[in-house]
Amino acid sequence: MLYMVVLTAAFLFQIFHDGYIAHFLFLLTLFFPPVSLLMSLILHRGTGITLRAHPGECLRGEEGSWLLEIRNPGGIPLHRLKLQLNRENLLTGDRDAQGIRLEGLARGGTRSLSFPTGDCGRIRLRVRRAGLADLSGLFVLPLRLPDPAEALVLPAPREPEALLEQILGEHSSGKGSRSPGAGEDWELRDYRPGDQLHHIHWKLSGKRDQLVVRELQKSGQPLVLAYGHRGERGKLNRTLERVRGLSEALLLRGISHRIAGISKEGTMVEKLVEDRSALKEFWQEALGLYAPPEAEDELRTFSFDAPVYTVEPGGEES
Amino acid sequence: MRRGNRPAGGGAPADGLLLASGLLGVLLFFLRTYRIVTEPLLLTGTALGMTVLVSLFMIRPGTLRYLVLLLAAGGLPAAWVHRWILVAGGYGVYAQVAEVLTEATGFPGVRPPLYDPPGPDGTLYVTWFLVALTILLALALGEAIRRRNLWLVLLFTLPVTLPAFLAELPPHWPSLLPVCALWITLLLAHPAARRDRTGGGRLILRIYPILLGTLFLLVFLVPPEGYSPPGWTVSARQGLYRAGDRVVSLLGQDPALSPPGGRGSVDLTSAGPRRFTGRTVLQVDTGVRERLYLRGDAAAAYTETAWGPPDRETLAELPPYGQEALQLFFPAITLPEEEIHSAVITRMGLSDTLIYYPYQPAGIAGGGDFSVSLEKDLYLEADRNVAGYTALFRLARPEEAGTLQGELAAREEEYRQYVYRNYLEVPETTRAQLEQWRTQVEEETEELYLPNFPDSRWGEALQAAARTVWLLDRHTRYDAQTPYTPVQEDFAGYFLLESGRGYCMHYATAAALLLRMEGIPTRYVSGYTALADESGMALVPDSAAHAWVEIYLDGYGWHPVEATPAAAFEEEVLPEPSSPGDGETPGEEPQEPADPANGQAPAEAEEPQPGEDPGNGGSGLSGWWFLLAGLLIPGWRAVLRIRWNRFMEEADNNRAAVLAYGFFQELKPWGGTVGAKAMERIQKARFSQHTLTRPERELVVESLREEIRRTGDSLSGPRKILFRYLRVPGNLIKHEE
Repeated sequence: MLYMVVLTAAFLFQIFHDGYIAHFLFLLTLFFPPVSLLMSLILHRGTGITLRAHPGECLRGEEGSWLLEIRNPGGIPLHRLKLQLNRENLLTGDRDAQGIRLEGLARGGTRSLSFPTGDCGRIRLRVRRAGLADLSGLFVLPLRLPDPAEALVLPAPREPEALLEQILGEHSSGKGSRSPGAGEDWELRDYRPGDQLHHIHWKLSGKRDQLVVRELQKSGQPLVLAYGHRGERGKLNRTLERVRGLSEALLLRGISHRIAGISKEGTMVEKLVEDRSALKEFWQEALGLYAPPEAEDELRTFSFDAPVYTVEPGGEES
Repeated sequence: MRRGNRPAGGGAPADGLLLASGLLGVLLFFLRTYRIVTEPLLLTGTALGMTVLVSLFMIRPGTLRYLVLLLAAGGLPAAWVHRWILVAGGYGVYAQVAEVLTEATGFPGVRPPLYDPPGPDGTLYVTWFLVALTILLALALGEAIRRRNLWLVLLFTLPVTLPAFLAELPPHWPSLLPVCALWITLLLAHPAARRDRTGGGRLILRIYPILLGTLFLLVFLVPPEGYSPPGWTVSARQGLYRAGDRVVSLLGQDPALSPPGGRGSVDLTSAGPRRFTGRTVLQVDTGVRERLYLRGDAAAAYTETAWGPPDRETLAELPPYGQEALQLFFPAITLPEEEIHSAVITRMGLSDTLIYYPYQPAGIAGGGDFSVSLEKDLYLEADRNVAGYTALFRLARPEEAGTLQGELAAREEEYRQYVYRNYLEVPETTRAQLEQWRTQVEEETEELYLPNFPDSRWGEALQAAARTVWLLDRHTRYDAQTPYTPVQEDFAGYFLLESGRGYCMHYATAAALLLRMEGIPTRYVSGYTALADESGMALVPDSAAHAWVEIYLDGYGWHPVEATPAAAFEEEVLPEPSSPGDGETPGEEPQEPADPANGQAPAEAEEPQPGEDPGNGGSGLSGWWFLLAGLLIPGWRAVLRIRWNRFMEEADNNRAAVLAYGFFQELKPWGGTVGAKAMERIQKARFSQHTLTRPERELVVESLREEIRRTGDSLSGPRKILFRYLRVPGNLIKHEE
């Protein structure tokens, strides 16, 4: 704006004054921006930014931060470095944007940016726009965008004692898990063509309005911890915390298990957890999958051929 | 001591570079632009030494003050001991700067009191003064650069460079460009670079050479020598003026240019205080360096409150004439030996049909786009709107005119009869008043004015015209702010018998009627005056609008006569400060009026001073002047007030008398003098061992007051305003009033 005023003044001066000084000032005003731009391009050659999470994961409620590193090999103070950062929680779908303005940093530097950890999830930070103002401030030199960075906000482990006791009790008696409400070593699943009629669980079929068959449980399959990969944020957080607590407690006792996140569409994620690294891999995958905040309904876990234990956000566990 | 992790001395080389360029650039610019002669080695050595010294002290923040203390401890006693050298040197510099600025601007210079041009030691005194100034400037500029503060740097460098620009002095570019590079470098040293001294210093060291190289390249590619403004600026200016004209036309127009009654008419009731917008009306490109009168409209019949064209019946008597014998062209035809000149005339406002042309017209060329005819026997008009044309003309010198022969002589005789029938009329009431005035002034004027005119057929008529103009000059006063003539008063009669003041419209009207009464056919003419600069270009502002008369010389034709007094003519009518009688006191001696006919351009008009841009750029700078004046006038008046108060409060009577002499000297350009008694006391105070007594001092002061009042009263018009507001402290004026 200021430059436009000066340019207009120089232009009018050139028109109304016939002296060389008017011409000189007009040319100077005209060539000032390109010369400034050219010098900026030379002086700020090699300037760039990188982005990484620090640390790469944290527990929900702990402090999480990104590290923004600015390279400035030219050693010239930066006039105005503007960044547009987009942050997204892949689990909850929450998104927001943040603008950052930096200046100086003649020798480069690192800036720490915190992010909220109120909800579990995989947080992805992406630089959408990055520009460096030239010396005159009239032009913006675009910078190469860095790769996006990700950080995990893990659920803090919370042990569902009642459910754990149930699992441990059934596991130590050598009996398989019991299907919800069955009372026998049966597993419930959807009807498939060819199933015998006496295996149909008529009572439950009537209740669910579709055919459900009972099948004898096959021995040797690891138990399944199923949870609803959906729901309101607070409940989802609590569910994940209980899943983590249960899983870690089982691992502590040497019990391999599978964790399955179930959504309306079916199983969203399923992972055999035999050690901590597998558990970490599970979280890496599960927290990056979108969990819609839709109303809860009964979980459909019928495709599992092993004892299934459904983890609820709180209250009763089965 | 280091603060944080920032090196304390960061950026010192950059500061040193900027200081060197700023200090040396400003110094060299000052010396070259104002043509000040010095001892170069001493001054350059001081500048370089101070650059190094200040740069060294800038390495550690806060240590510059020690250098200031060091220099003050050593320099102030020395300066005190040799103060007369510094004062003499300062006067020398002041006088030289004032002289150069006066030469460039035409404004009266202000010489220091009691200043005698330095003798053989003068150069050394000036050099020592500049050495002291360089030391101070180095310290101030050093601190400003250390702070990377552009505004402070401008504060210390612009006072040297800006006056030269405003006075349109040709700047010394090799020294100016490093200063420009310094300004731009600091402009580009953004806040972050200013905070980080090391990084900012690195930035400065890299961009300064690039900027300096770019500036030199710019001046190399577009050199100032031989520069002429690009063509598009003229077109753009025209476009803007035309747009402005549309606005101006809504607000009313200059009565002298476009009278309400149409062409051939002048409404004299609208002749009030003159007002101008400063806009350029015409652009004239010609090889003639003499002042040109661009004839536009004319009027024939006077009716007490207006000039008008001849009525229909009169026009019906007008003999038919062809293009080859336009009555207006008779003079050009009788001057066959005179070289034909040309003037390309371009309208800067709305295009129009009225044709302005210089005397004596020999033809109008428009590339066949339009044809021109003489309308109502008064003015030339094109058959369509014309934005530009070429006027051919011969410089009018009736004494060199030949005799018309054959057909042309017959036509002239026929036309002459028409002229004598219709250009001698004066209304009876007006005639009575004019005769009364003439009787009065003839009685009052004892001298007989007999100007020398070369023997010619028209000596009598020309002499009568000159005497009429002389009488008007003697018995009336030029005043551009003359108020409107009261309703029902005769314009010419009121001017001559009542008010006694007027400007070109009043003088042309009165002269036309007085000459008619003497039996010389005369008519009222309006147009512009123009004086081309060295490039042959003249931009004619609306303030150059003018009115004069034409008298008819038998066998020759219409001949222009300047009716406005020469001295007033200089002040108000012309855009350039040059005219006949320049520098002379109006009224003391009979003066030859400027003669539009033969372009009696004064000697000073022939050679425009270097740096002057007469009629060409004045309009461009007017905005600058107004802006600057608005800012500087209050400050200047405060300075005047402080000076006067200091003078009045001066405890030493001798010193007070010397200061009074300075004030007397400043009154000189305005016509002030030092009284003998006051001068005697001043000389006593300055050169004798005695001390003035209090009464003697009072006498000097009182004499000064009296002289200020007398000088102020003797001035008129803008000079009076300038004197009151720019030369005399306000409290003194109030006191005097």
